[in-house]
Amino acid sequence: MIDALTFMASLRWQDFLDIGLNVFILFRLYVLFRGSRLIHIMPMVMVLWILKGVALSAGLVVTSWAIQGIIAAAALILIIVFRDEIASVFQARNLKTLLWGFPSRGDITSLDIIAQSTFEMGKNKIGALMVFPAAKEINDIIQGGIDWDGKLSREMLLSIFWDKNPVHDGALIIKGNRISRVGVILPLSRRNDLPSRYGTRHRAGLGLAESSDCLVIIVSEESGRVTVVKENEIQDIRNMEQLKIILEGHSGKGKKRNSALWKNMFEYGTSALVCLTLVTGIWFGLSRGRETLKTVVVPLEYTDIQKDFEIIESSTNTVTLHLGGSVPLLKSLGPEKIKIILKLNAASAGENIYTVSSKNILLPPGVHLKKVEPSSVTLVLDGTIAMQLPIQLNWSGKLSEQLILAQAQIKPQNITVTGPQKILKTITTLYTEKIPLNTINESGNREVAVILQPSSLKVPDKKNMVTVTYTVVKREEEPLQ
Amino acid sequence: MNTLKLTLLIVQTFLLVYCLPIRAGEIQEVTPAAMVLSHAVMCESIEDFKPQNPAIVFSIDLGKVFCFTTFEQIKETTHIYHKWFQVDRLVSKKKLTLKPPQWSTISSMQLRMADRGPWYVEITDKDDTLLQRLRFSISD
Repeated sequence: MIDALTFMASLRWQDFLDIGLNVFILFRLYVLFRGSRLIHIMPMVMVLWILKGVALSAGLVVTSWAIQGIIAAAALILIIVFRDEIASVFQARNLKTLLWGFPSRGDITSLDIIAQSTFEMGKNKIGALMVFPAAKEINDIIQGGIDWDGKLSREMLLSIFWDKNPVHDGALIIKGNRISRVGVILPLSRRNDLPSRYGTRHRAGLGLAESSDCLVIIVSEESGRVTVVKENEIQDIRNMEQLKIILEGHSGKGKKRNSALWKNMFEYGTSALVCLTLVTGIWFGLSRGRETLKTVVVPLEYTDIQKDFEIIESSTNTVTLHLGGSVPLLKSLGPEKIKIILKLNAASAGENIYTVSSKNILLPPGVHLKKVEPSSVTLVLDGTIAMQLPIQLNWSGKLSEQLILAQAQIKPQNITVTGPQKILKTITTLYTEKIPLNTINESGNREVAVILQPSSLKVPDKKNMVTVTYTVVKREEEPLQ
Repeated sequence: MNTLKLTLLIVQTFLLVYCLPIRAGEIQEVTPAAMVLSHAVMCESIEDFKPQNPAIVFSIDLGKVFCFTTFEQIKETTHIYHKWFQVDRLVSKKKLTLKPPQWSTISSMQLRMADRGPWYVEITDKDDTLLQRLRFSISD
């Protein structure tokens, strides 16, 4: 349990995003290519891929190469063979459909065609009479007509009820998504309570509905109004949605539609789960499955150092870390992504030993520490003090043999230096930069800098310049041989 | 013969003490009550118990450099030290005997090619009290 929690804690937000994006891409590809032949071939490619992995793990190098070649060739062949299907998926859809849309099934589309065509005829004042038989046989009730047996389409419906068409006055019978018969004569209703606006077409529709379980759609040629009749019930329809619901209820597609929706939801849910499992498996296989080791040299960082304390000596400035983790994580890992921080707030003057462990090493998630070299760092800290030190001139080069540099005065003779106590206590003299003797011909003065070594020594206000006044006398005796 | 040399040395020391001026930069740091360091100088050579060509820079070609010191008011035989430092490293510590009432002592350093750079000689009494520090350089 603790391992699982540790593992979950080691996951980065990038990991979740990585998995999420790939699940989404895979799921969308499935949704877009669902029903196409391409999607049926993909499992074969997956099988080949698994086979390649098995061959590789079994040490069958040539076989795994061959399968890899086959997969590469298959991918190319699939793109060429199914280029039209691929193109249709990406061309016919807009970005929203590509990212979010779910394509609807074809069997629901026939009701859409009927509803759409009905209202289009109503708008254009084209009279229409459409019969949708249910369970009961109606051949004994209807008369005449011509067998049609054509696939239902908007154009077909409009052309049948076009007023120049010889069969436009009769009714047409629709079974499923096919027009089975046209120009059919229906029995007229004998009811006296019908409104005066209902004409022969309405009376015929009602007549059939009264004597059967058919649903009849009537479009008034005069008003363009759409009326649906079933049994004794007459209902004026205001919009396409209402008509579609009635048609679905009549054909049983309402239930079918619901069950189809559930079926779709189940299918999409299952495929989403499969995609999630697949991508997660691949992700863990790639990023977590293959562990590797990496050695990184990381500089040490010191924080919370006390005021007036300085590090004057360190056993090391860098630490070598042996790290474990997945191949991609370690490949992208550089020393800049790792921090080793030593807090010196509890340090005292003198030698301090600090252990370098996972507690003071900041590693990116997913990377774990195997070994630290060295595992401890010795730091020598010291307080800062100020001290007055005498200055000595550092003459260099060669003075003319006829001259003697008899004396020199330095102003100031001493300067105040601050630095670590331990270092300053060992220093008795500060030396100037080299003063060239070659250029000296007579007495004079010049400004020279005092060298501050080691670099931890500081001079307040950086005033490390002194003035040297020197006296040169001529040699009385013969020059040196 | 020895007595004559000693007498001569005392006389010369006396003359040096009163005739040679104290060089600038050679400030006496500690003056013990018992004896007085009256003269201290770095020089190229010693001739007739006199420091020759006192200076603060010496050519390595000289081959040798001398530290000359004179003490007064010596009450009893004692000794002092000439400590030779190259930069801050003690190179040599020479114990020199002083006898009452005045005494001049000399120590020297044989120069090698690696001896270029800043040097100083610390003159201390028998209790290691610093009496004076003479700073000089060995040049090309």
